[in-house]
This record gives sequence, structure tokens and C-alpha cells, in this order.
Amino acid sequence: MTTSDAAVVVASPGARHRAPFLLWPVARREFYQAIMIALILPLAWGVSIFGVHALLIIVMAVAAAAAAQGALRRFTSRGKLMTFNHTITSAMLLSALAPETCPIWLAGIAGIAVALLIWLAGLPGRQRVHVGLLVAIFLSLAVGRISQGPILVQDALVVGNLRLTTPLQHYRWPRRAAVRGRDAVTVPAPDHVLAKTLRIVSDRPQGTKARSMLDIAFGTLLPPPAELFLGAMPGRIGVVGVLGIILAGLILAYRNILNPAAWGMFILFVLVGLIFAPLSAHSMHHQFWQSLGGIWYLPPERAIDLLFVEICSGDFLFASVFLLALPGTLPLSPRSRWVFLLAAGFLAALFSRIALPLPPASTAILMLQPLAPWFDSILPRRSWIKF
Amino acid sequence: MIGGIYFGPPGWHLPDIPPVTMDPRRDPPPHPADRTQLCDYLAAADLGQTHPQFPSLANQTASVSGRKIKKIMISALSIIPESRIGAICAKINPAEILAGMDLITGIFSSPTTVLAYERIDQRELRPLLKLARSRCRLLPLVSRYPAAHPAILARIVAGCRSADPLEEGILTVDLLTCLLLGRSLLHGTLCSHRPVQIFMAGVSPRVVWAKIGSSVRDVFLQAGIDPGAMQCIANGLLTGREIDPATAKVDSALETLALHLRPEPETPVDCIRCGWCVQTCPVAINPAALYAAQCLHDGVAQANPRDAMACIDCGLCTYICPSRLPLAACIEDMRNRVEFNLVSVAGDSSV
Ligand code: SF4
Ligand code: SF4
Repeated sequence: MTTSDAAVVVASPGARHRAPFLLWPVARREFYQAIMIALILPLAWGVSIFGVHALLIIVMAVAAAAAAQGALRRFTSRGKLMTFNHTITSAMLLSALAPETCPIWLAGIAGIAVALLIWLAGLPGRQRVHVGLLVAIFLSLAVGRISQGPILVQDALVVGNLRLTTPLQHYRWPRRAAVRGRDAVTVPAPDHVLAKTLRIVSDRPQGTKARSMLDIAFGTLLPPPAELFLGAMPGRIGVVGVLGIILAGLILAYRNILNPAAWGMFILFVLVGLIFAPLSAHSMHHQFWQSLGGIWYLPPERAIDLLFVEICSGDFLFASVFLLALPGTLPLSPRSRWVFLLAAGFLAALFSRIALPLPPASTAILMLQPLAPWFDSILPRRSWIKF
Repeated sequence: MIGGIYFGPPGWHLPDIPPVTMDPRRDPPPHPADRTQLCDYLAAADLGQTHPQFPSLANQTASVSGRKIKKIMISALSIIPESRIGAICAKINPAEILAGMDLITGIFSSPTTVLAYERIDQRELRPLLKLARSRCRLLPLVSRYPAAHPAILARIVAGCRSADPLEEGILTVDLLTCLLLGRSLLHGTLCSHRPVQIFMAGVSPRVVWAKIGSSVRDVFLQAGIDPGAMQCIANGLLTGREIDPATAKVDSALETLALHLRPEPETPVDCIRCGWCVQTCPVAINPAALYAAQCLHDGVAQANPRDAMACIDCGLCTYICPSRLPLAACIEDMRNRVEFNLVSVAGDSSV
């Protein structure tokens, strides 16, 4: 039953008419397209929270990246290998992680930088870090120097003024008129409040001072959980919409891009980060072992509040859904994935306590991503078949 | 967890299968009583391999010689996702299957016999399962491709870790072998025909008894289908091969024929490290690393070429790869190279 065609096929592994004759309907293009579509949800959520300025940042970053890619494709031979979906996904990732206080012109420059770096770093699949993430981190550092702890003014919320309905006394957001018309100003953000509180608490976790500090922080300084869930809080444009991120995650799981079998790993990443999050930079050198239990020192209701604040106010969820779904983030073998995620969770927790003006989970992943092939080589996948 | 993909039930209704008269044997020998006689009987009855990935009973009987068999694994599962060969055999004649099963279990006298079947085929298999219940343990499975591959099935059924289950004393027999053997025993016939399933988009699947050695084109005509200029794939779209119906002949291992329009070729692009191939590989190897080492000569890939020896050629990695890389083909070339090196090393040392 062997035809002459079949003989040719064996000699040439790349030949088209060798099995399989059926291909999974998701090619590389669709892969990035699905992530792009999923990213629209948290970005739209961010726009509804932060307003026109956030929309302009997104449009500027994406348009600049698209224009730069168009120019590179037209004038360079290497540029012809760039793919539109990949570049736009990177630009959207950049705008999702951009601080709301970022100047619009800077977003444009960042968009151009994304396209240029993709072109330089070797096109989709060859770059060792997500270019969009890298540029977003630089953007955060640049903007961080201009203004720390950005927060939206209360009368600029597109979804309505949620603040008016809350019983908060101390956690006051300024009004637009009071800050000379700007949409966002710098005030202490929930994760900064949390970092400061836990630093004091971890010194003497069982003392009365610690207890009253916790009561003040959770009762008056931090926004109530419902508001955090809706995204009415300081943060990055695409990171604040918790509900939007969860919906995006469901879309990606439906497309099999967020592999349901890997959910255990996402949970591990979030949990490790959250359990170690209460470690403060202070306690790292003074009372490391006492504070290692972190969350377990808190009364149960406070521990639940803390988990909620950590999930909603950091970028753990965003990183768990988008960065882990993006191809090239994780090592390939399952064992090395577990170790990678443990390390990423721990690093993210550390960064969130050092309170750098950076998204902690994304920064942790960015730092570990170049090491992914190394993780694979020290913990390779071994077949169960003996031969 | 053993990898693989659930393709869903084959989802087509079994048509009536017209009866066939197998060629008679000139001087039917007595029923075999031991392994040596079984070997001779199978050779005389022309009962060969019934699927390219399923070892033939004759070969297994010859290579096992006097060794003890710990388990007999009878598979009513289909290796090809779209095939329903188990249900077809059960619909043809459960009594003939049982005759074949009884002979095999009698000769190999193993302590355990397991009949693994697809849950979705339960309706068609019911008469057979009723009769077989007293003879063997029944194991219903939801088949994730390639769970019916003998190595994977032996892992599921008996925790076997070898590419060849026979090495661990597990004899694997498929339902078609039991059917053809039983028919030969009961009616003294040769295994001159075998059921072949025919698929074509827009036409309900057909099952015909095809004469071994006849032209594939004749099989299509027998089913009332003109293959025309369509692409013809033998034995499944995942691991089969393209054949020319005009020149190809039916062999004992031809289970399915599929006709479809030649797809637009997609150009392979760089690996994006999505990890899908690693997640789906049923034998837990890293196809991306092997591909990088074999085809891209990537020194960083850290792949051990011997891993390629574990590949069972299921084609899932190539099927799923969003970059459309010919992973399975590359790994097969790598395996051939490793095998060649092993053979030459063995040859050198024997000199
Ligand atoms: S063809 Fe080989 S490497 Fe690819 S998935 Fe199947 S067993 Fe794994
Ligand atoms: S499926 Fe393809 S693109 Fe994804 S890791 Fe494997 S080889 Fe690379």
C-alpha cells in the first residue's frame, strides 16, 4: 500500500503530506488573537474606572506599536517576519500594566519601543522575555519617579462615585477640584497601607498595639472588599478590574489557552504569594522565623480580609491569567513549572512588601522568565516508558 | 496522569454490515492445543496484524515461546479516534469472538484476562459483554487518544512501563483478532477479508468487508463511493498515511479509509514555547526539546536523543502544535538515528 509519495515523505520530515493530516484549529495567530480578545475585558474595565486618560494611554500605545511594526515590515526584511497579533498583544499587555498617571506621550514612546524590541529580540517565539512586560516595568519605573502610589480622584470614576456609599472615615479620596483638575493624584494605595501595617504587626504579632493597628487598617484605611472587587482602587489600568480578569480567564480556558489542567499551578502561584506576602522587608532580617507564618498570626476574619485585599489590589490575578497564559512564560516540563511558580510566588510576595513602584507578580515573572530553559534542563521531563 | 486528548465519541451510527463468505481452507488443521500449534495455525489461516500499531498474535506467540503470561489484555477500543472497530466486531458475531477468546485464554493460561472497552460502545457490545462477564474482568474506559495504543493500555490496565507489554508478561489482543480467529476455528475458513470503515465528509460512514489483496479503489466502489481526486488517508488522520486508491492494495492492517479535500498547507514557524506538545504527549517526553535538538541543532535544548525511543508515534504533538512544527516526523527520524547507532554499536562489539 506504499505509494511513491510516501517514500519521498520519509526522507523529508517537513513534508506536508506526512501524518497527521488534521491540525488543531488554534495556530499561532489564533493563539495571540485569543489573548488579545481576552485582554480587551480588563482594559475596558480599567477605562470605565479610570476614564478617558486611560483610554488614550491604551490607544496611543497600541497605535504607536502598530505604526512602528508597519514601518519595520515595509522597510526591513526582518520586519516581514513580525506578526501583527503578537505585536498588538504585547502593546496591550504594556498598556494593561501601565500606571494610570502615565503621560500619553510616554505611552506612545513605549508602544514604539515594544515593536522595536520585538524586531531586535528575534520575533515571536525567539525573545527570552515578554517585551510588553519589560517595557511596562520600565514605564512604571519612569512614572514612579514622577508620582508614587497613583490613585484616582473620587469624582472621576466613570462607574459612579462608589466612595459616597461607604462608611469609610479615614480613607478619603480627594476630589478633582482639590487637585487642580487631574484625574489621578498620589495618595497611599491599599497595598502600601497593608505593607506598613504588617511591618508593625509582624514585630509583635500578638500584642494589643498590633491588634488595634489591624483594626484601623482594615476598618478605616483600606477600601471595603466589594469596592476592591469592582476595581475602584488605585492600580494599573488593566489590573484593577478583578471581575474582568476572571472573565478573561474563563475565555482563555474555553480556548484551551489557559489549560484547565494547569489551574493547580495558578492556584499555587497565588497561594504562595499570598501566604508569604505578610513577610515585611523589616521582618526579613529581624524576625524572619516568627513572621514566616505571616498570615497565620492574624485573627481568622482579618486573614480573610487580607487575602482578599492581596488578591484584588496586587497584580497576582492578572499575572496568573495573562502572563502564565502567554506562550514562553513558563518552563515546559511539569516539575520545572511547579518549581518556577513557587519561586515566582515567593519573589512576588517579597516585591509586594518592599513596595517598589512596580507590579510585584509581573516583575517576579519577568526576572525568572529568562531562566525558564534552565529550569527545564535541571528538571527535565522523563518518560515513564522504559526502553 | 497519562496524557492524550479526548476527541469525543466517534458519534456515528453503525450501519448494517453485509455478511461475507471467507475463503475456505483446503485442509483445515485440528484446533491448536499449544503455543507452537497456534503459531502454525495463525500462519496457515493468514491471520496477520490487524492495525499497524497493534502487535499481531502470531508475532507475540512466536516471541513469547515458553515464557509465562501474567495477563491477557483484550482490547475492544479503537486506536483511531474516528474508528468503531470494537463495536463493529461485536455487531458482526459475539459467538465467534468468544470462540477466539477461549482459545487464546486456554492456550496462554494466564491468571487474569481483562476486556477493555469503550463506554460509548456499550450498547453494541452488550451481547458480547454479557457472555464474556464470566470469562474475564470487564474494564470500561473513556478513551482519550491514544489510550488504545498497546503500550498505553498496558500502563492503564496493569501499570506496565515498557514500550512492549509482552516484555512484562502482558499479551495484548484486539477484538478483531479474536473475531477472525474464532470464525476460522468455527467455520474452517481463511482470514481472507477484514472489515474496513470508510469516511467522507457529507456521506454517512460505511463499513464493508474488504478482500485482503484487492484494490483500495474496489473497496470504495463496493461502498458506493467514487474516490475521485480527493486525498485518501489510510488508518486515521492522526497517524495514517496518504495512499493512492488506484494503486494501493488492502492489507490485513487496513482499518479505515478517509477521503477529504487536500487542506491548504500551513507554513511552520518558530516554536513559541507554549508547552502544549509536552502536556499532551502520552508517554511524557518533551517533543519541543527533541525537535530543537534534532532539527534546529540547538545545543541549549538539553534533549536526550534516547528519549525519542519512548515515542509511540501517536502524532498528537504535531497535531496540537500552534507553530505547525513537524515534531512527530522529526522525532521519528531521531529515533531511527538512535536505533541505527545502537545497532552499529552492538554490531561493532560483536565483532
Ligand atoms: S508522537 Fe511521540 S512525541 Fe509526539 S505526542 Fe506522540 S508519543 Fe509524544
Ligand atoms: S506545541 Fe509547538 S510551539 Fe508549543 S512548545 Fe511544542 S513545539 Fe513549541
